[in-house]
Amino acid sequence: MSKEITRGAELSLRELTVELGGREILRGIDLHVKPGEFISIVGRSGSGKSTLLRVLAGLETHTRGELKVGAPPIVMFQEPRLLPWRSVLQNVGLGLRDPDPRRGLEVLAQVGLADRAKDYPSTLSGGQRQRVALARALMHRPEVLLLDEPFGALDALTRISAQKLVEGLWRERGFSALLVTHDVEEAVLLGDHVLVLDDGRFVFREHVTLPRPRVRNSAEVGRIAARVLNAIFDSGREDADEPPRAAESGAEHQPSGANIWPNFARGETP
Amino acid sequence: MTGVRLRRRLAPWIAPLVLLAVWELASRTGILPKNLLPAPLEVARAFVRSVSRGDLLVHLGVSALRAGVGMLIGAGIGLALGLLTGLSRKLQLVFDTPLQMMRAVPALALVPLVILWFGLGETAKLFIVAVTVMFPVYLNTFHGVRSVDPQLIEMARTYHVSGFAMYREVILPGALPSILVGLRFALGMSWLVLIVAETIGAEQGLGYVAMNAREFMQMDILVLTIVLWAILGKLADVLAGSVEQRLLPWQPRSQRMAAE
Repeated sequence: MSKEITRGAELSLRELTVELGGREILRGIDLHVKPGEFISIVGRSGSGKSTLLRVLAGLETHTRGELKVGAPPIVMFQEPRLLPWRSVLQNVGLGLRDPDPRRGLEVLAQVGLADRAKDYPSTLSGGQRQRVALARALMHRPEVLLLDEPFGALDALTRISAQKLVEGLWRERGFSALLVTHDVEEAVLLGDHVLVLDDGRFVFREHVTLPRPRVRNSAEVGRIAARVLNAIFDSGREDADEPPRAAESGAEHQPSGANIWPNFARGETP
Repeated sequence: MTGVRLRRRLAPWIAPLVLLAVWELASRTGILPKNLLPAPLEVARAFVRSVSRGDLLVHLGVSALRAGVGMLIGAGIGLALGLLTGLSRKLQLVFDTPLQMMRAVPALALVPLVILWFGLGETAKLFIVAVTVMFPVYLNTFHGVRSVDPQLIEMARTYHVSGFAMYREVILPGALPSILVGLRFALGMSWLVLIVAETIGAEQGLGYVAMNAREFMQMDILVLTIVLWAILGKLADVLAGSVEQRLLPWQPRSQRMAAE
């Protein structure tokens, strides 16, 4: 199997504002992703994280600000979104003028599904379908991979192996990755940086320097996850007009005294 | 073949066979007067007589040709209109309401006009068939195109699929199950409407045979045409079903059964 190394592309947002239906979903956010970085973005539903990803993917347009994406991004959605009427191999080659079946089989082998190339997606399990979607993304040699909660619909065990698979391929190929999720532990396990989005702004940023692969349920991961979780809960308690500016000031986030879920949010590290 | 599958194959035929037996019995015992309804065996005899004379096959052949050609024209137009209105809101605004209104008009009401326009020839008959089968194909194509999963279209767009490739890869295959449902309806209706179309100056065809039998009170022939219609309708359905299976191999079996 040939190893493919793709250099990741740069992503840069400045003062990016997105209005949808007269409502500001994203309010002037700044983000810089260096080539090959893995960025995790967490936030509760309605925080604008999916909109951010859709703008980067070119599925929504921004209202104000600057958006630079160094290479055409490839998206992995929460649903596999395979064409039911095409075989697994045909799905993997979607969008390529003249897909090379040998390469299609190679990327399928990388996700462990080379033997299902001729089957229709309806015969695969949910986890297998998501792996085909990943193979389809890899087929395009992505320099930027956008992940919109791609593990959210998988059962716990499948999710763990899918996360490992994505991380392994990312380390091998070196593309830039941006993961949107509401699973805080997942964000910490995979991200070089974890950002918390709330009400259209980044309110928290954590640079995760733990060595990879990171150990699920380890004390370090747990501590960072608890800090991130705290940031999410704290931000929700503030008035929408006065969001905390932790991310912009670059200051360490200080958990405020009055937390509505103190025990859960500060989660004792095991 | 396992016993269960055999039973499943045979089950649909139980009711018609029991009905035939009861009917024959009722005729023989005189409960059912023969001038009101001939016995099944008499109908069978009429069938054998017509086949051996050779004219029944000619009538069936002529009818099949009319149904087939009318079907091709009508389904073609319905498909094109359905694709156009399905893909463009503007065209939908222009075409949908008049088409829906035309759909409500019974074919029988058109006959005098059609005779005026096209005379008594083949064109008039084909017109009736084509107009009738057009609507189910149009409606189902339109709904098929509209119900293509927007998530798939969005996904394809992120992979830079657009224009004709979008139709070929996503929209047409997505609409195909619905289009085939329309064709299935149309195929059945193309036979049914012959009873109307072949009243227009016809000298051959199943509709002509039925009309003739009615005029001359040939009850055995009349019932024979009714039975033939039932069998041909079933055959058309089986044909459509096998076309469906061939064109939709990707559909899981359970889904296909549910659609039937």
